[in-house]
Amino acid sequence: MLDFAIATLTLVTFAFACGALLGYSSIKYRVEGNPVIDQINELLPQTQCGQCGYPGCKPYAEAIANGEKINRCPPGGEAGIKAIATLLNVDVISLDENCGEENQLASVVVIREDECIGCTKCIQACPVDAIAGAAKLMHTVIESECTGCDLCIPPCPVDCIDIKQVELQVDNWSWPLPMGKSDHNIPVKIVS
Amino acid sequence: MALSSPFFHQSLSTQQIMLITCLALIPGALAQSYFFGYGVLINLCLCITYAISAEALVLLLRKRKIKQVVSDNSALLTGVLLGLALPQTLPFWMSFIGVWFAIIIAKQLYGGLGLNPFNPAMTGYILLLISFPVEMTAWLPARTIASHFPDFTETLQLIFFEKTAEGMTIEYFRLITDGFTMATPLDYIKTEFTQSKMRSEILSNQYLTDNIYAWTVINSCYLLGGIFLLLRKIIRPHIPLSVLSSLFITSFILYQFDSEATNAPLFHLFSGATMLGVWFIATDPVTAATTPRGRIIYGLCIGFLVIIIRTYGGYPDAIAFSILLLNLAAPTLDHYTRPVIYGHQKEEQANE
Amino acid sequence: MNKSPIRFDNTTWPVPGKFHGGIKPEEYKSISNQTEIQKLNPPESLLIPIRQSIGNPGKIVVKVGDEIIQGQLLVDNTDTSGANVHAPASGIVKQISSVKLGHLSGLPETSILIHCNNHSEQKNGDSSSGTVTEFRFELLDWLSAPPEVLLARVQQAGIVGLGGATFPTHIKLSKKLDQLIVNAMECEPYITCDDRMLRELAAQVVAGAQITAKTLNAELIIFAIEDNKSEAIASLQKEILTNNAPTKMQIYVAPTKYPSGGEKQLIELIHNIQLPHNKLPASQGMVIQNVATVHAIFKAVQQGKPLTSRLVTVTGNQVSRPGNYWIPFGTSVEFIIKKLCINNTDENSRSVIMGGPLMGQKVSNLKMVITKKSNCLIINDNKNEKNWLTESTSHQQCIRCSECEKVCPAQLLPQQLYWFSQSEQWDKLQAQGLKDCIECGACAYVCPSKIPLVHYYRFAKSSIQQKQLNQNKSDKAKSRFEFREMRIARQKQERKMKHQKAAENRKMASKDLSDDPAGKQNAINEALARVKQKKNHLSNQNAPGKEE
Repeated sequence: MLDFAIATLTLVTFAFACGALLGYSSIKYRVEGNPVIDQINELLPQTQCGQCGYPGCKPYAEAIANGEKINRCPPGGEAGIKAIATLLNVDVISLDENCGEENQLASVVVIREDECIGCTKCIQACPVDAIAGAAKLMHTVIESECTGCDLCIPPCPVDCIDIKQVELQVDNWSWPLPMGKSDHNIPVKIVS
Repeated sequence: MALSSPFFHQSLSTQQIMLITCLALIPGALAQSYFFGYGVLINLCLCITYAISAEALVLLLRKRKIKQVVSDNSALLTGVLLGLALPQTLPFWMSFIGVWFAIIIAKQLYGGLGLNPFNPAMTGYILLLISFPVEMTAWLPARTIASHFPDFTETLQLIFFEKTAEGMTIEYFRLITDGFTMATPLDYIKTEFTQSKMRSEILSNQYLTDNIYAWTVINSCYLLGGIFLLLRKIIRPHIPLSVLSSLFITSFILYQFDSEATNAPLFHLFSGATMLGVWFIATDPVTAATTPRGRIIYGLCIGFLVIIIRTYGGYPDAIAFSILLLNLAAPTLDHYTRPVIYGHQKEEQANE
Repeated sequence: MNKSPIRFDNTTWPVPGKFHGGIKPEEYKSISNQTEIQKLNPPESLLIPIRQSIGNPGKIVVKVGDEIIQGQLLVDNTDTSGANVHAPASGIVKQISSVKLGHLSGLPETSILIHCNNHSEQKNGDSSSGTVTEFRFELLDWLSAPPEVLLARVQQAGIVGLGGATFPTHIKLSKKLDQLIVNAMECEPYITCDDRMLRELAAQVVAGAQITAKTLNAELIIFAIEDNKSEAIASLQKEILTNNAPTKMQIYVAPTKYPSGGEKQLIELIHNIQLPHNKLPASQGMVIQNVATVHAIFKAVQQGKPLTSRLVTVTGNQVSRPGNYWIPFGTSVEFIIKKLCINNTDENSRSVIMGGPLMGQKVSNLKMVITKKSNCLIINDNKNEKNWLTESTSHQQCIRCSECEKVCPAQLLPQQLYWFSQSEQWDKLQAQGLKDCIECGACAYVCPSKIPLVHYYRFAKSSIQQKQLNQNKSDKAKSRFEFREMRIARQKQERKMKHQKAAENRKMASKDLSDDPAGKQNAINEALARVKQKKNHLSNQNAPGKEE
C-alpha cells in the first residue's frame, strides 16, 4: 500500500513538475504574433496594388496564412508563387489570370503635369505616398518611390496619368542564364 | 546572346578523359585475357555493346541528341569496367542485366553523366553479385594451372549456351590438374581460413601460389595503367594513394596481431580487384568526394573498409561494396571539408 | 626563345609567396612584343562614351556644334564618383546621343560624336603657329608640388585604373599609404602593352611611379613583374640604378602563372599574406597601380596631358602588323581592323576580343570603340583553333572532376558554385563565397566539359544584385505603406477626437438648451402671468374708471 502511495505521489509530483515547466516555457518563449504572416509578407512584392483582391500585401499575407490561394499576386509573378510555395511547402500553381498578368519589366506612373487639375484624388489612392501635391496645385509622382501599382489611374478625373515602363539600361542590365548548348540541361523557361 | 569570357580553353575534353582512361586499362585487360582466356575479350565486347545500346536507348526515350551524348565515352568506360570485373564465362544474359542496370537505373535515371550518386559499373556488379552469387564467383583458374583451359569456341559456347558442344559446364573448366576446383586466391584463402587452416599451410599449395602469381601480374598491369593516368594528370593522387596507404596500414596492423589467420599487406594490394578499383573506379570523379581533404578521407575509408570486409565480412573481395558505401558519404565529406576561401578565416566560414 | 636570364641583385628579388591554383596558358606574347610602340592617328570621327570608368556618369560640358581642341574637357566628373573625359582630338561635336556601342546587353550608351579636323601635322607646333590646337594643363614640378596639387591633377586629367578595372585613380590615391605596388604582371596571354611600355619608356614609368609615391606619401615602390619579361626587367633595373629618385624602388619577380596580376594574388605573392575578404589593399597600407596608370600620371604632371589615348596591344593571327599602338579613345574597332588587318578575312570565323582571352569581352559589334579599359584587341581567325571557345562550342555535363577547384585562385569550389547557380540557390551561393570570385576564368579554362562557368557566376551575381535591389525596393514600399496606414489611422483617430470634441461641445451647448426650455417655459409662464396680472390690473383700473 505504501509502495503504491509512493509511486502515485512520485508520478503526480513529476507530472506537476512537467506541467509547471511547460506552462513556464509557454509564457517565457511565447511567439508574438503569427510569424508565418510576416514571412509571407516578406515574400510579397509590396506594391500594395490590390490586384489580389485584398487591400494590400499584408492583408493578402494574412489571407494566405488562413488558406487563401497563393497565386493571386501578379507583380510577384511566378518567382513569387514559387517562393511562397517553398515557404509553405505546398505545390506551385500558375498565376490566377483573373487577378492580372505578370509584367516582366517594372513600370512606374507619370502625371502629365500640365493637364493635372490638382484634385488630390490620386494622392489619396496612392498606397505608398509616392505622389506629392496639394489641392488646386499640380501633382507629381516621386518616381523612386512609385511601385507601379496603377491604383492612382482610375480615380483621376482627367486621365492625365500614364504608365511608363522602366527602361532597361546598361546600369540595370543583368546577365542572362547561359543558354545551355548542353543536352543535359533541365529545361527552364527563358525570360526574354 | 552574348558570350562571357573566358574565350580560351586548353585542357582535355571529357571525351578524351574517358577515352584515355579506357586506354589505360589495356595493359591490365591484356594480362587478364592472357591468364583467363578469350572470355575476358568476349565479355568486354558484349559489355561495351550493351552499355552503348542502353545509353542510346535511354537518350532516345529522353529525346536527347544521341550522337553528341554517347560520344562522351562515359558509357564506353562503364562497359569496359564491368567487362573486366565480371567472371570470364558469365552467361551473356547476366552481363546484359548487369550493364543495363548500371546504365539505365544507376546512371540515366538519375539524369545521366555527372548526376549519378553511385558508380554505375559497381552498382551493376553488386546487383549481379547479390542476384547470382554462384555464377559471379565462378572464376576460372589461371591458364598456368588449369587442367582444361577453354579455347575460343568453348568460351563462346560457355557464354552463350552455358555448356560446350561436348556438354561440359563451367564446373569442368574450373578444375585444376589435381582435380580440385580453384576459386580466386582471395576466395580460396578465405574459405580455408574459415576451416581454421593456418596461413603458412594454405600457402604451401603450389597451385594457389601460381594463381596468386597470375593475379599479381594482372594487378601490376592495372597499377601501370593507373600511374599512366596520374602522369597524364587525368586523375589526381589523393584518392589512389590514400586508399593504398590505408589498405596497407590496416592490413599491416591486423597482420601483426595474427599473421597466421590474416593475409599479408602486399597480398591485399595485389590481389582481387584492388588495383582496378583503386586506380579506375574509386577515382571516378562523378561519385567521389571533390575537395582535396574530402578525397583523402574518402580514400582512407575505402581502404579501411576493404580490409575489414575482406577479413571479417562474408565477401572475399570488397572493393565494390566499399566504394559504393563511400559514394554515399561523398556529399557529406564535401560539405565538411570545404577549403578556406581566400581571405577568410576558418571559423567565420564555418558559421556561414 | 633566347631570353637573357634575370639578374637578381639588391633591387630585384623573386617573390616570397605563392597563391593557390592558377593556370599556365600558352602565352602568344611574342606575336606583338617584337615591334616598337607605334602611333595610330585618329580616324575622321571619334565616338566617345561619356562614361568610361566605374562611378556615376558626369555632366557633359560641350554642346552639339561646339568646336573643340584636343584635350578639352568633355565630361566633368568633379562632383561625382567617376572620372573626367577629354577630347582625344580636335574637331567639332556632331552629336550627343545614345548609341549602341557593343555593350554585352546590346543596349545603347550615351556618347559624344566628334568629327576630327586633322591637325596632326601641327600637333607638336603648339602655339607657335598662332592657333591653339591642343589643350594642356600647366606643367608641375612634382618634386616641389604638394601632394594635394598632384592629386588634383590626377583627378583633372581623368586618370583611371588602366589595367582594365577603370576605377578612378584619384580616389585610390587620396589616402596616405606606405607602399605603392606597380602591377606589371600582365599575366593574360596575348597582351604585351605593359611589357613594351617598360622596355621603351621605363624612365617615364619610373618617374610616374615616383610622382604617385609622392602623392601617397609612400616610402617604398615595388614593381611586380612576371619572369617571362626579362627585357622589361632589365630595362627597369637599369632605370632604377641610374635614377636618383627620392622614393626607394624594388622589383619583385614572380613565376609566370595566371592570374598573378589579380590584386589579391599580387599581395599574396609579394607579402605572403592574404588580404582579408572584405578589405581593400589600403587597409594593409598599400595601393596597387597598373604600369599604364602610373605612366598616365607621368604624362598628366610632366607633360600636362589629360588621358585621351592609351597603349593598346593589337594582336591575333589576322593582324598584318601586330604590335602596340597609341590609340585615341573613341577609335572604332572597325577602323583598327581596316588599318591593321589582313583584308581577306572570313568574317564568319573571325573572332574579335577586347581585352585578354581570359577576362576580355567579345566584340559582337564592330562599332565598339577603344575606351580607357581597352588594353588589348585580339583579332583571330578561329577556323583552325581548337583552343577557343565560341558560341557554337557545346558544353557537357559537369563530371565533378574538381580541376576547377585545383586552379581557383580564390580557393572556391567552382563546381559547387556552378551547381547552385544553375539551380538558382542564391543563399547557398553566398555561403559558398560567390562574391569572393574574381571571375578570372581559370576554372572555365580547365573545365573538360567546357562549361561556361564564369557566365554562370555572372548570371548569379547579377541576379543576386537584382534581387537585393528588388528587396530594398519592396522594403521601402512596405515601410511607406505601413507609415501611410499609420498616418491614416492617426488622422482617423484625430478626426474622431475632433468629432468627439465637437460632439461634446454640442452636448454642452445642448445641455444648456435642454435646461433652457424649462427656464424659458417658466420665463414664458412668468411673463405670461405678469402680462395677465397687468391685464387684470388694467382692466380693474379701467372698469372703475368707466364707472367714474
